[in-house]
Amino acid sequence: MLGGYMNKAYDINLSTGEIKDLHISREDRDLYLGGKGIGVRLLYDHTRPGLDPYDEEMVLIFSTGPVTGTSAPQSNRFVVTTKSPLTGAVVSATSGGNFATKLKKAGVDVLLVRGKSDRPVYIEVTEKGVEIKDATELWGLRAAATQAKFPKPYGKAVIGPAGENLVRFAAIVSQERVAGRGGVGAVMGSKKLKAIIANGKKQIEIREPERYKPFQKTITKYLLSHPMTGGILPRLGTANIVNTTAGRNMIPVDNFQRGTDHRAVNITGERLAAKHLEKQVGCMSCPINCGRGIKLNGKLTKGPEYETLGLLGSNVGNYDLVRIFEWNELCDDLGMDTISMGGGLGFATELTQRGMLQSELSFEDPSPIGKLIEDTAYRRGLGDDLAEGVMRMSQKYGGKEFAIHVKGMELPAYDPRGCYGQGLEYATTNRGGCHVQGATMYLEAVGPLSIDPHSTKAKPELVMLQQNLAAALASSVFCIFSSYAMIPGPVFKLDPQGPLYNIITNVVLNSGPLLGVVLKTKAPLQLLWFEKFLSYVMGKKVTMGDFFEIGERVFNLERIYNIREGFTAGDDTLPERLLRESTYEGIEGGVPLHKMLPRYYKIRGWDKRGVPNKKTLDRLSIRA
Amino acid sequence: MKPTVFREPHEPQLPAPNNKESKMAFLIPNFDLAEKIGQDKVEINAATVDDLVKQAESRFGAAFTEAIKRSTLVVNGRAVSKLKGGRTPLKPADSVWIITPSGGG
Repeated sequence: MLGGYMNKAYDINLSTGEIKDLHISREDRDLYLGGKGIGVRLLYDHTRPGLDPYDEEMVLIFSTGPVTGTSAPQSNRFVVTTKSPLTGAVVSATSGGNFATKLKKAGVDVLLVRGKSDRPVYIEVTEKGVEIKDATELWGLRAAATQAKFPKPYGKAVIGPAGENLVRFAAIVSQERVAGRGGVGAVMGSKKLKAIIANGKKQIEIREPERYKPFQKTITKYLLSHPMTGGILPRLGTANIVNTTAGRNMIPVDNFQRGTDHRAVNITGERLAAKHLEKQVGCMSCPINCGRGIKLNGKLTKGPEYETLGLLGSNVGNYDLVRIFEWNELCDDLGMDTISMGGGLGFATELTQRGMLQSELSFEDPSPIGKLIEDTAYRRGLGDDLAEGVMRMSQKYGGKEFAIHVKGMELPAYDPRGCYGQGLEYATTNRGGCHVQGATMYLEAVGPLSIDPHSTKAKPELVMLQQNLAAALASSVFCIFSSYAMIPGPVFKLDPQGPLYNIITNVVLNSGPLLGVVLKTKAPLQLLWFEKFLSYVMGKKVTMGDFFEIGERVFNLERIYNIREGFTAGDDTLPERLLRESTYEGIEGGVPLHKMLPRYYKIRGWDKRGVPNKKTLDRLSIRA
Repeated sequence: MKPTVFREPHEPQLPAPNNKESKMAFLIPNFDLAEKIGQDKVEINAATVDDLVKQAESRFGAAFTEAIKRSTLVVNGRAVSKLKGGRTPLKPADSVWIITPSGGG
C-alpha cells in the first residue's frame, strides 16, 4: 500500500442517509493521484451525461492528495469537484485553511456526496466514521457564524446564504479561505448540505521518513529565501500585482473597457501593507503566509487578494481600499466568489451606462455596490439577475460583446490583451475563464521574466506546460504559488533593460518547437521538489515526467467530460471586446486567438474540433 | 436579519484622470518612491524615455535611481525593451510606470 493515503473514502447519499465505502482503485490512484485528478475521475464515472448540476444524482466530491496533512510546504489544501451551475462544465475549486488536514487526520481521503436532504444537514467526519446531522438551526447563518457554531479543533467547509439561495457562483468557505469558483457552494446548497466538519489525530504514513525530513527542511528553507515565496508574497500578499498590471494596461477598468487608470495607485499591495496590514496570515503548514490580516471596523479580518482588488476595485470604478475590504469580507461571509461578483457588477454597470439596464450603478459612484452584494446573496431585485452570472445576464439584457466571461465563468483581473498566452489559457481552460489552472501571465507579464506578452510565439507550448503543471499540482495537492519558486532567485536580480534578460526571454520565445518536443518527452529525472515529496511520502518513485503526465491526463479527462456535456471548439473563445478592441497604441485589435488555437490543439494531440484523439487517450491511459 | 451598514468612503473618490489635456508625459512612481517624493504622478517634459529618466534623476536623486534599479519601465503599457529602449519617444499624456516582478493569483 502506498504511503500518504488513508485508504478510506466515503459515498454519502443525502437522499437516503446511506453512508458506504467508496472504492478507489490502485490503478486510479496511480493514474490520477488524488485531489483534482481523483475528483474528475469520480465525477466522470459517477454521473450520466447531461445531468443538471442541481439534480439529486449530481455528485459533490471533496478530495485530498497523498501529501495533504504532511508537513510538505503548501500542501494543506482540499479540492471540491462537481459540475458547475455557472458554466455547465467540470469545476474543481481548491481551498486552503485547515479542513484538508483535519479530513486526512480523521482517516479519510475522499468524500463523495450525492442525493439531496429534505432538511438542512451537516456531515461530521471523525476517526469513528461519518455521521449526517441536523443543521436546521444553522440554515440562514453567514459563513463566519456557521463556523463559530462548531468546536474549534474541527476543520470546517461551509456555505453561507449565497449557497443556500443557489447563487450560481456561491463558494465554500473554510476558515478564512475559499473554494471560490464555479458555484461549488450552490451545488452544496442544492443538497441542503450546510457544512462538513472533520477532526482526528491519525498519523499520515510517510514511507521514506529518512529522506523526507531533511528534504522538507531544505525546501522550506529554499521557499523562505526565494524572492517571490519568501519576499514579495509574504510582504505584500497577492495584492503586489496591482502596480504591475496597472502599469502594463492589464488591470480591468470599467468592465474591461480600459486596462489602466492612474487611481489604481490607491489600491496597491504596497499601500495596503503600509497603511492597513496588521499581520501576515497563512494556511496550515505553509511557510509563505501570503494572506493579509487587516483591521476593519475594529476587528481583525481577512484582507483582499489581487483578484478582489481588480474586480471589486478598478473594474467597477472603485479606488477606495477600505470599501474593497468591506465588500471582500461581505462576499466571503455570504459565501460568494469575489471574481464573479465583481465581473457581474462591472457588466451591470456598463449595461446601465449604455441605457440597457435601469439601476443606480455607475463607474463614477460605485457606492450602491455594497447593498447589491447583499441583494445578490439573497436574490433580491437586481441581485437576482446578478446571482445568475454575466452569461445569463447578457442573454436577458443583451451586451454579449462586452459580457466578460469564457464558457460562462467571469474572467479574473488579467486583461488578456496584455498577455496573449493568458488569453489562450482562458479560452481553453476546462472550467472556463480562470487564471490559476495555468497562470501563463506569470511568465508573460507579471513575473520576473516577461516573455513578450504581445507575441504568439511559443505561447501554445507555454500554456500547455502551465496547464499540465497546474493540474498535477492540484492532484497532489500543492498550492500553485509554490511553482513560482521554480524560477530561480537570481533571475529576479536581472536588469529588465539589460542584454542578458533580453537574451533569455528571446530564447524562450523562440523555443516553441523545442518545448513541443519536451512536452511529449517523459523526463525520467527528478528536477523539481514536487515529485520528490510525492516519492518520499508514497514510497514509490515519481519522476518529473510522471508528474507532468498526470497533469496532462487530468486535463484531458476534464476535456472529455466537457465534450460529453456538450462543449465544442466553439466554446474555446474570448469575449468580442477582448478579441476586437485594442487597449494599446500601435497594436490593432485584441487577442489574436486564431493564431494560437490551431497549434494548441495540435500539440495537445487533439483534432481540429479540439477533441483528444485516440492516440492521445491511449498514451495517457484514459478510459472514457 | 439586519442589513449590513456601510461606512462612508475612507477617502474621497477621485474623478477619472483626463490626461488628454496635459502637454507633458507622466511618470507614475511606484509606492515606495511616491512616498519619498510626496507625489504619485509627476509631469515631466521629456522627448524620450532617456530624457525622462535624466530629469527624474536630477529632480529626485538617489530615491529615483534606486527605484528603477532592476525595474521595468513601461510606456503606455508596453515595456521600453519592446519599443525603442531609452530612445522610445514620449508625447503629451503618455504614462511611464515603474514596475517590478510580481506574482500570486
